[in-house]
Amino acid sequence: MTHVAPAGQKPKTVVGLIKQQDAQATAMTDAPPDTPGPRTQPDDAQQDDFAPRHYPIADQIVRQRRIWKHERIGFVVLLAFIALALSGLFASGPLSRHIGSSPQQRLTVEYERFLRNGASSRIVLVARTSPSARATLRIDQAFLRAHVVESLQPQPLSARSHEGGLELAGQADERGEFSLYLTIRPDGIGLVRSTAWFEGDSVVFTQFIYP
Amino acid sequence: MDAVLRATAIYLALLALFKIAGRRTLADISNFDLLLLLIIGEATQQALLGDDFSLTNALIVIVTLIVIDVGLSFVKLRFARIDMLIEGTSTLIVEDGRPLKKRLREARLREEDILLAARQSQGLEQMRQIKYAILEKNGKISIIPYSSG
Repeated sequence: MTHVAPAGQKPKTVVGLIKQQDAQATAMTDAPPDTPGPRTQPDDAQQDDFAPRHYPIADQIVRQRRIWKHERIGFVVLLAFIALALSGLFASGPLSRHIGSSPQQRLTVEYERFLRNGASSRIVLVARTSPSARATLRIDQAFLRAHVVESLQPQPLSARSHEGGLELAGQADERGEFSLYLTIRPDGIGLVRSTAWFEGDSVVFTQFIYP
Repeated sequence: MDAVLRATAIYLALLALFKIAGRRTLADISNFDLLLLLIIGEATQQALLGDDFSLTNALIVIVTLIVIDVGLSFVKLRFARIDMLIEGTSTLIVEDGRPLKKRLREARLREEDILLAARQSQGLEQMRQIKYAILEKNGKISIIPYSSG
């Protein structure tokens, strides 16, 4: 992109001198072939490219320059926008991916902090208990109201409603871990504060859903 | 309700983006620009319609876009300042055969662009044959040659 010519700079002497020479050169060589007689040398106002002109159109160069300046600022803003998108501020990226754990590390929730309305995402709940034990996980109502749960893996041994939320039971593996993968499609807009529980341990995770 | 909001948001976002892109970039369309426009249209379509492909939704979106567009043209007629903000102003870029280089630089134009317009519209060959060149609001370059008389 181009840039930023120093706006409104007063011509300094050296610059003025160069301009003078330019103008003389222009007067000597740039005469249109079919114009009779020598051309008048541009005066000071004409030499300044940013001085307003009144003929053949009355241009509004000051305002137009402001518009050009805004275009340049806008371009920088767009670059910043792309940088933020790459970093994950608009979902799927290092800024967005997050793992929340309960104080005793018995429950961890892996989730995206930023989501987009209608775009699928994934949440992984991992509960740590004794080997092959039965584990019961709960997810609260706020989560289910903001997202459509598209799939649930593995299929829980039992599932039931619990205070408007969901209670899911499964069996831990021989290392005592029970992982539950949820594919979700956000169906709301704005901040959603959800909670997941496992035997008295809880993880609160906040997600922002873009429109 | 959300169809109207979607259409309004997309209209305003595109207006702002194309304003930042500047008038030259998409005003005179090359093959690649056309392709880019098609891709932008494709990317916009989904956001405009969401998952509702009904006739009613399409009508709501189209009517909203047209109403905003016509409404904005009324506003621009009524308020010259807003017109200037959205459309920009016409700017002199060549005076008496001399390109106004600083203006060209800020407008992201090169002298070749002026010569191209001069060849296409007037059949002129050199900068010194151009009396005035004006970068118009619509991004086109108007060339006024020296009169031969």
